[in-house]
Amino acid sequence: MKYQDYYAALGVPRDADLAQIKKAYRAIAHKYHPDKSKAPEAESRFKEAAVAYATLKDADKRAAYDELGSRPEGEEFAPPPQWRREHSGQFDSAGGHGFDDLNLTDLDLADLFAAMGRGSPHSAYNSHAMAGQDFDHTVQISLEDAHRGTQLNLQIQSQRGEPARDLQVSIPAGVREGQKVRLRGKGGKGRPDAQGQGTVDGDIYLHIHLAAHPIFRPDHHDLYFDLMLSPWEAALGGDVQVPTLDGPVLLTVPAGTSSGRKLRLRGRGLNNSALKSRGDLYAVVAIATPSPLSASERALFEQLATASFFNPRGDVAKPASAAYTTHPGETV
Amino acid sequence: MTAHLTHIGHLESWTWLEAPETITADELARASGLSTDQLNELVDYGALLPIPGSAAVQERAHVFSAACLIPLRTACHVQRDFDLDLFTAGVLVGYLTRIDTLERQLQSLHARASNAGLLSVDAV
Repeated sequence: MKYQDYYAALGVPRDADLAQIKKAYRAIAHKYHPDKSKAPEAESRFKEAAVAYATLKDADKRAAYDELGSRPEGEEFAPPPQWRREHSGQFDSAGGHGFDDLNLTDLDLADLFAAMGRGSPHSAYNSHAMAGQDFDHTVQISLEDAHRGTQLNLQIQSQRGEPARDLQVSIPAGVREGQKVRLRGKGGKGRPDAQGQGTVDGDIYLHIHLAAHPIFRPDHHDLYFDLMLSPWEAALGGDVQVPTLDGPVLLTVPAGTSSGRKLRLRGRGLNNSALKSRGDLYAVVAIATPSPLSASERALFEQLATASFFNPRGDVAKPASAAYTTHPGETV
Repeated sequence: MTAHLTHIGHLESWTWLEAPETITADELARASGLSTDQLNELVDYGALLPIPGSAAVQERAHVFSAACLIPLRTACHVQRDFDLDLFTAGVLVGYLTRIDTLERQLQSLHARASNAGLLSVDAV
């Protein structure tokens, strides 16, 4: 068995009290937790600290660990006979095993202390049932695949030495952004106890993420896109060709359409398999002006500006009223 | 090994983790790595809300919305990894659920708002 310096792993002196140990562990967990850090060494650093903390936070385990003495990191060693005799009782509650008849060379120090107080040191491998590993998998699919349904080939890579597995998953039509799916019992294989009981296989959690689409923005089963209109199309109305997931269609723009108005194409959104229907497609109107203006365009716009009494700002931009106080030098 | 799931929506093992799907207390405990007692403690704290009336047949045999599984699992991982107590995990469940709701609302607002003109802001 290889010696692991748990105090060094947490960066605390051997006489550190529990508060110091806890503080050191939390600082490392905060820095290296895989959810927070993408540094290549983060996961191993976090696991190393977690293993050390699991032993040092427990007074009995820490005392037993301290009795092993201080050694160079990674040095091969075996707990001395006296240590085995003293702590044998902490390992035999489940099966009556002590240390004396066990070969510890293939046992990890972390497993030894993890098993302390709950049975034989070999129970971590042999006697107790162990739940299978869960897997979390973020799957990114296109909007078109979400609409029509698709098949995904996932590779499940276990961290427990199990061979990688390929899993083929059918994603039904109508899946939405942010949906989460649990595949019960499809994760890592559980390990039964000595009697062959208690096997619980892990689960797979799929987190659905829809890839950004160049045109459409999904909201549940509805889709939104920006419909750019020229000022005269917005003012006069007319039919314009718009994209849908099923190909282009003609949309009638009512005369007098302003920016921000949403024009609905019923049933042109994403499939909703639960309701056996489809969401709607919304064209969000945005008016674009030609730039730069040609001489004739400028002349026509100037003619329109002269002829029209239309004021899109209404009363908002009226001159200052009595309630509005100007500051010296300020022009209203 | 290749597992072919021809239509996953028809398999018992496939569960959408959202309302109106439900999950039993035993299953929720198993999936989150909590004991049933710990799960009941979270119910007592108000961190988990069983579906009303679900414990009528058998005391404490609650049924929950399947939507609570992901925030509960995440909170339990954080609880174990940072050596937090169960009450703190319960508080985390509330915040994680709220974050998820807000993210959905934000995504909905982004979808509904016009993107035109948002990419450049001209000084005038």
